[in-house]
Amino acid sequence: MTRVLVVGGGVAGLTAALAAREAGAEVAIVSRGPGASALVSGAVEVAPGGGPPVEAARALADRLPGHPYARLRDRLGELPGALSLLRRSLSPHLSEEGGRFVTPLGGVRPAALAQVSQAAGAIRAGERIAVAGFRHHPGLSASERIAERLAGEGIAASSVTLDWLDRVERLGWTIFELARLLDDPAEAARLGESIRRAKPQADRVLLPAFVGIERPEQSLKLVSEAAGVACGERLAGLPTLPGLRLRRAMDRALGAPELHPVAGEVVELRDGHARVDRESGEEELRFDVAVLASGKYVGGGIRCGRSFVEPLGGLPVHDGQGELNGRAPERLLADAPCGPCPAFEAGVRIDGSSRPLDATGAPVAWLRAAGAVLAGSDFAADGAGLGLAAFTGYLAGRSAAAGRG
Amino acid sequence: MAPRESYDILVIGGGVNGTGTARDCAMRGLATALVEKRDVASGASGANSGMIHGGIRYLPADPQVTRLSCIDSGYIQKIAPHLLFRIPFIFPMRRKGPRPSLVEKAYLYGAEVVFSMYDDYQPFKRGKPSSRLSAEETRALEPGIRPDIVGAVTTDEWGIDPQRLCVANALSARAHGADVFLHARVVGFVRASDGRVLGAEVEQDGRRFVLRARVVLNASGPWSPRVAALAGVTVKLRPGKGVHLTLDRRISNYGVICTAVDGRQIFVYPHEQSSIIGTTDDDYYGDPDHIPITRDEVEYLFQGIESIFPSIRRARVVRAWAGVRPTLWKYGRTEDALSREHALIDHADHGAPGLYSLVGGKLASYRVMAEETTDVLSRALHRFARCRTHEEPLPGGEGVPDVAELAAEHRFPEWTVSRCVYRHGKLADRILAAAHDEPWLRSMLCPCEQVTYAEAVWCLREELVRTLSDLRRRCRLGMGPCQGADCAGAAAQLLARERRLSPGETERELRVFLAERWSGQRPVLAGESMGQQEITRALYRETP
Repeated sequence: MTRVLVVGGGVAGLTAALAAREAGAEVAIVSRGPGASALVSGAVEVAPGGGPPVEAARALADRLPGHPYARLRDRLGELPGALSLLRRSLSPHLSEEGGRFVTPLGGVRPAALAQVSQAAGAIRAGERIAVAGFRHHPGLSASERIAERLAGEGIAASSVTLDWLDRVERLGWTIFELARLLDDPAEAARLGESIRRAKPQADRVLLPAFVGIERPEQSLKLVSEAAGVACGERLAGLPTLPGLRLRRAMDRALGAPELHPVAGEVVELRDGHARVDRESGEEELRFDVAVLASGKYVGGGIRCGRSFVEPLGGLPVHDGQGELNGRAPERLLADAPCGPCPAFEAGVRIDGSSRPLDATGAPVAWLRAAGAVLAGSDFAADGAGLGLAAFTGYLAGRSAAAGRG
Repeated sequence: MAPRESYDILVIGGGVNGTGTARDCAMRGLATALVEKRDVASGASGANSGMIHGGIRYLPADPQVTRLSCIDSGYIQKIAPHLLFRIPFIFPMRRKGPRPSLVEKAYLYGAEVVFSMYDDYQPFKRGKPSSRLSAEETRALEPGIRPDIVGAVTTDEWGIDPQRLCVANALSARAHGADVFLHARVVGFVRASDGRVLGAEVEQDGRRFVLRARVVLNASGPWSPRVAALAGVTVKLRPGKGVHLTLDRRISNYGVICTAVDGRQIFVYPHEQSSIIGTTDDDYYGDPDHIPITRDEVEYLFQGIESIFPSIRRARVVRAWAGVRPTLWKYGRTEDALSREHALIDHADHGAPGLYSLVGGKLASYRVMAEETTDVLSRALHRFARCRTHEEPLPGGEGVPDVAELAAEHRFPEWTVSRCVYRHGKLADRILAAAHDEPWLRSMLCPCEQVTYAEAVWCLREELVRTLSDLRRRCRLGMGPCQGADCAGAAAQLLARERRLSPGETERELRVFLAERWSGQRPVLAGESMGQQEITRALYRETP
């Protein structure tokens, strides 16, 4: 039985661990804490542009030859399997289908999957939408402008102002406090009644992503029933409740004893064994194959000081074009804050079997890599979010389970 | 705003000299207009060290500059007591061996003598006299300072929010009847056949109009050669670029004076919610609209501070920013040795009567410069009213309310109230009171800088704000550790609501704001900042 050590407890790491386990490997997963996956919008995005995920990913691979999708082009057919594995392991956290979703600033974004309460907020053809806002909560009250922007994109949208928060004495509630409030069925019903009172001229009411932490799908059902109209959530910005929900769903999945979760930080990784810094002291873990799912800058998988470094494997760092080692970071920052930027594409290159390439360009037999640590991936510019993490994690996990080489 | 038929005086430039002079002119009853191509304090006046200091640096060469600065610093405390905060400075002296050598002791003594000369000027500005500290005393005060020091000398300066100072002057000018045109660019001058300057042609929002005035003052700082060139006259500057860094936290309780690799003195000092490192001083003849900052400049500052304060590397630099000092031209001196004196140039001698240029000077003496300038200009207009800018408080400066009382009365947290009181002084009472009728104003817009919706809405409605970046200069929105990741989107929505902006205009505002934040983050982006940037980029990826 192959012993697989997964470094990183984000979506890429979780999927890798599950896939390796499914393929019969003995698995341990080391996580030092929440990373970028705690900061998600709630949607699992594979690639920009609508249509079936595999098609969208292929189109992205055509457009960006240095992207991980292009490296793994022959394997894109396995993308649905990867998404399905993620969905099943986090059940009932994610929906069965994707769609087009509304962002906090009123944009529209396609995604392959979404959290269930947000899937209920997907835009459906021919429907009229009412975007809900709250008089006493300015952070949640951009409803008129969201509706206006949606209308500009040809979607029948209006805004509706709810009085749900009016009776609440303390103001300036955080999104987390409001969500906790809505875990209470009575409060969810009150929110629904406030929607009914507002008489929205719509087939569906779009709420902020705040309808409950524990069982959002049930809270949302109570809201919709009391409202007398279908309700759903928009995508989230920061601070993000969907990030918290995802984190909790992942913690549950990672709690499975067969995944051997280890809380700690891998401080040294060599062929065959890893040194892990834990609260209880240092620990040595032995393995046959390790999966680097250590993220980019948020996760710490890539560091950028005077040059770019991959700290665990000592692997060369590339962007979508070529090697970055020895190149000054300031030369790799774009003129605009958004859009393509080589410094944020930094990561390790892999071959078609998810094995990272060393300085000579040869694959490292005892390593696999997945997620944001991959060269050429830049979520902010390419729009390949958790979908990329799940897909590359799935492939890396399966490849690792097959053993070295 | 429709311009009047004609003005007595037109001031070009919304920096501290322009707003200060416009205020003085308006208070003396002159019909005054101020025109600024961007926003108040968007040039050097918003990108300086944020100190009303007496300039101990200038003491040996220019005691008159030090004296004037100190006297005026005292006046500024009187007219804007809420805006000033004390920054005590420590000047530690390194030693090479295990025990201080005679030469090193002599250096420390020398420093003590210079600082005690400065003590003579301290009473003008309620400053505390210098003192000498042993190595142990120094480290007890500031444990981040390295142990191998001879000892230290202390001095005392005042910090200020320079943007608020300019805003307060502009608002006061307006309250005294001046017309303030922001985001309005001078594109040319109106001339008589004899060359006399009769006013300026101005472009605002794509429209052009003429502001006629009997006297025109060019107070556009590093832009003043360009403005003068529009009238065919020359203003010669020796502009000096100054780079500062903002840290994500207050890393020290005291300012620490350090020696850079080239022997120059640089500082790290606590300022509002963060610490600032500054500054460089290098000749700069480039475009004042786009001042490049290099990694070398950032590293120069870091190295210099590290030589005395090693733990500085543990702080995260959130941004670098630069301004151009409009220093007077002088050949054969190093940048640091250039005089901070100012000059008022009458261009009558150059064929452009009616046009004056105010150049040079420093933040701490802006008021007295404005006074002298207004004296000259009003004499030219045969008006002889007395200056009152050192007596009459700036808006909000009538008194500093008690934070605990305001917090209790208006039911806001004390730390929130204290920031609001700092920025708005006495007006904080009115700003916070609005939340009793409109409860949504209680919510927090920018947690880093404790900007409530109440304050932001006040600034939007009362303080000449047009853009999101203007709002930032009024209340420090988005200037904290997250650089707008948390608040920029919500602030754009608020601006859109107040100004009825279309979705496209709202996105544009957000984009411009984020691009401006980015321009300051880019030169320092490394280490942990990359993680913060990764989040911000993902958050705002829909702003095309």
